[in-house]
Amino acid sequence: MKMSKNNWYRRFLLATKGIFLQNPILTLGLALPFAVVACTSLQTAVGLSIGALMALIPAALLLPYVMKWIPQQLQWLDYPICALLSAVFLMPTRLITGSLSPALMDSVGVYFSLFCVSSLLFTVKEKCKEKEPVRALLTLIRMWLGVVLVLVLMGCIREVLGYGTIWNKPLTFMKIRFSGVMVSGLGFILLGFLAALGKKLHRTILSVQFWLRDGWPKLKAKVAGIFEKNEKEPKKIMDEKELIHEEESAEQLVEQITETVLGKEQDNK
Amino acid sequence: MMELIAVFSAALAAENLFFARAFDFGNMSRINRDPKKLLTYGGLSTLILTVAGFLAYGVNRLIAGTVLYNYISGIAHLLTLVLVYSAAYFLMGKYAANFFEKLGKYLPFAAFNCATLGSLLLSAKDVELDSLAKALTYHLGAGVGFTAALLLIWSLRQRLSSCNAPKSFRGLPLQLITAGLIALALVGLTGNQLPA
Amino acid sequence: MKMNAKPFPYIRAEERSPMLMLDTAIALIPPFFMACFYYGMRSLAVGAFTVIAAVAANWISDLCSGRGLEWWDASPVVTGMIIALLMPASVPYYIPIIAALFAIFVVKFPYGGTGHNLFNPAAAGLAFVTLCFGDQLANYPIPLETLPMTVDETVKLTQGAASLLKMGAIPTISMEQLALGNFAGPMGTTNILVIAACLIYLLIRRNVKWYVPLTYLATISLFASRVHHENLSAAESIIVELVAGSLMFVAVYMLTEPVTLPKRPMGKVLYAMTAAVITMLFRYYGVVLNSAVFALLLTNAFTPLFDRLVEQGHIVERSVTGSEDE
Repeated sequence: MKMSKNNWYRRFLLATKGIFLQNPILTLGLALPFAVVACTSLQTAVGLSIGALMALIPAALLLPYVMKWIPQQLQWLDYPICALLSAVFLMPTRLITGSLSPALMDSVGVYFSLFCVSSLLFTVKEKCKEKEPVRALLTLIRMWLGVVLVLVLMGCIREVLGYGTIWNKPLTFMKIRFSGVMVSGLGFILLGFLAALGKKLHRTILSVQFWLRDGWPKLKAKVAGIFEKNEKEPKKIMDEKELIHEEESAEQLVEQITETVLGKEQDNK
Repeated sequence: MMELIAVFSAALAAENLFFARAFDFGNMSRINRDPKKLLTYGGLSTLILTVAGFLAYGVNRLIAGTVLYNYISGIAHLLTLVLVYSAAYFLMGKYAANFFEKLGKYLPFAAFNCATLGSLLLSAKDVELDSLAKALTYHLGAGVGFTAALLLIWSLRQRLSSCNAPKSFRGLPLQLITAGLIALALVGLTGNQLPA
Repeated sequence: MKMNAKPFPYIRAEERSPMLMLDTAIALIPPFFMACFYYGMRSLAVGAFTVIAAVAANWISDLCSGRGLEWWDASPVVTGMIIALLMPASVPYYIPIIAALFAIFVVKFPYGGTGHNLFNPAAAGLAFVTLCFGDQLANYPIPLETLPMTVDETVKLTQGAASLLKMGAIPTISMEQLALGNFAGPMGTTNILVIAACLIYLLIRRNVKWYVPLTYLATISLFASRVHHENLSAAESIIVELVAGSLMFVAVYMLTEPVTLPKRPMGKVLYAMTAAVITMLFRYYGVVLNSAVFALLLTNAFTPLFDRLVEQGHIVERSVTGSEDE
């Protein structure tokens, strides 16, 4: 794979694979209930992110060890055991996030418990199945960061549009309150536009990269060509002088060569 | 009887698991080619949900008064789902091998998804569903509504893929916007209420 | 690889011709005249702002998606006029503008512009605004009272007929008031006779198939005659249901929009019946006022399903008659 200077974008994308390239929410469509319905403000977004992390850790790290203890016939129990492990981890987390963002537990507390059965969990489980612990942890962290990015964005936008505050501090320039943004329908639409924005950014950067590779040298050549045309007219005068100079120097060179050749002949003679 | 019908239709339309609560959009990408697969998935989910509803009602009665209710309810309902899933696995493996070949792939996804656990938790929290019949009707309505929503989105897929959308909007963004507009239409039933 | 550059289904005629939408725009002008007569110049100002916002949004979205500017496209004009006519005349100016922007940028732009939208943009814009600013849309000014250009607390606002029906009361509208549209309601929807005349114009111009509004109104009348208030007879109940709210307006202008209708006649009839059933269900059990608009938005999602069903029916019918021929 040619990792040339122009492929900086591809290297960046592969390094941040779960965050920008295959964002679990915006591209794979995984943890949607949380982003669409539960994420009504920045505080709830932070609470949900903590819950997501605590639910994903056992699936990625603990499950391979647990499954080694289970006999071969009961291997189909991997889904229930994965879900149960995450639920066990989620129980104390509920205490922590309850103190951090009580609004989350009041209105949409049901969603917090749903991390243990969401498709995000099962996808992380599949991805981290065959890997060593360090790699599994890195994959997990990348996917989690992708989820957090989208949740925080959605939470901010919905809180600013709906309540006019950020982290419960009012903003003065928001005069109109779209109180209906908290409904799931508008959450879906916002998320759809975020996904389209992500795709558009990706396509823009790709097209910039292609232009840097193909279009920028052409542009440089064109610009240089324009400059060369401007310089040609004064160069003509110089060309004549150079020609004369070259002719003279050519004649001198011929004389030198004949002298040396004749001189050699005279020596040889 | 009228109350049961009201509960059923409320679970079906007004608090639709797919549109009003956005449950389980992610599994769409696996199975959205064929309406029969969607029906299988939805039907399995509904069945498991209804059977688990029996157990969950009893479990809920047991733990309802305790102090740690909020923390235990998640695991308790998940345990009921695990029991029903294991029972279904064994029964299908022993007595209905034909079904098991076709449906075996979908069984874990149908049992453990946001829709089933979410419906169980929501019915546990809901004060109006105090009798077993009402809770079961709620689960049945929720499952049927979920399957109907999946079929509706499937029928729109072909239309969505052939419209002249800008390139940034093709695929998932357009599906999300469509689901959002249908959810907006269902606001006509519920008004401006946060689904809890 | 796409063999055919046109979108599915391929049996439809070219709907981007300007004359189709121009006729609808012409048919929307008489309700504006009546609104101006009852509510003064403010109704025209609301309409003008909405139409300008819709047209500008359409141009911007066309430029952004690289399709090129089509300045003769009359469909955003129609969208703007419909949104304005469904608002009370005393609405603050920013609300219909927000509705128009939502309608174009969220419902038309992602789907690919004019002729490709899946949902009726005016219905979606109105749904969004009812959701966010619902209490400002619930009260209507009394007609034939002068309405200043900037509305403040001195303007008297009353409840419309639809909210009275929802609460279980009977709106007291006499026959002359009904005929002339002299009762409180959204700007363009109270004048039943004017809307009926515009329907006849659209039927003559062949923009609208006659069976679509007929099926819709017939199904609603059936429901209204069965389930009605104790003090009303069946006929009175039918009239009250048809008059209260935006039902006739939706039946004439929004239900018959060619982009969102199914293609075959049977599909169109099914669509109209479904829209009527859902409208009545929303009216009985729903909470929001403009139930016809929300019901239309929901029925738009069923259009591809009706297309598919009717096509399957045609395929089966053709196979059956084919085997009979053999």
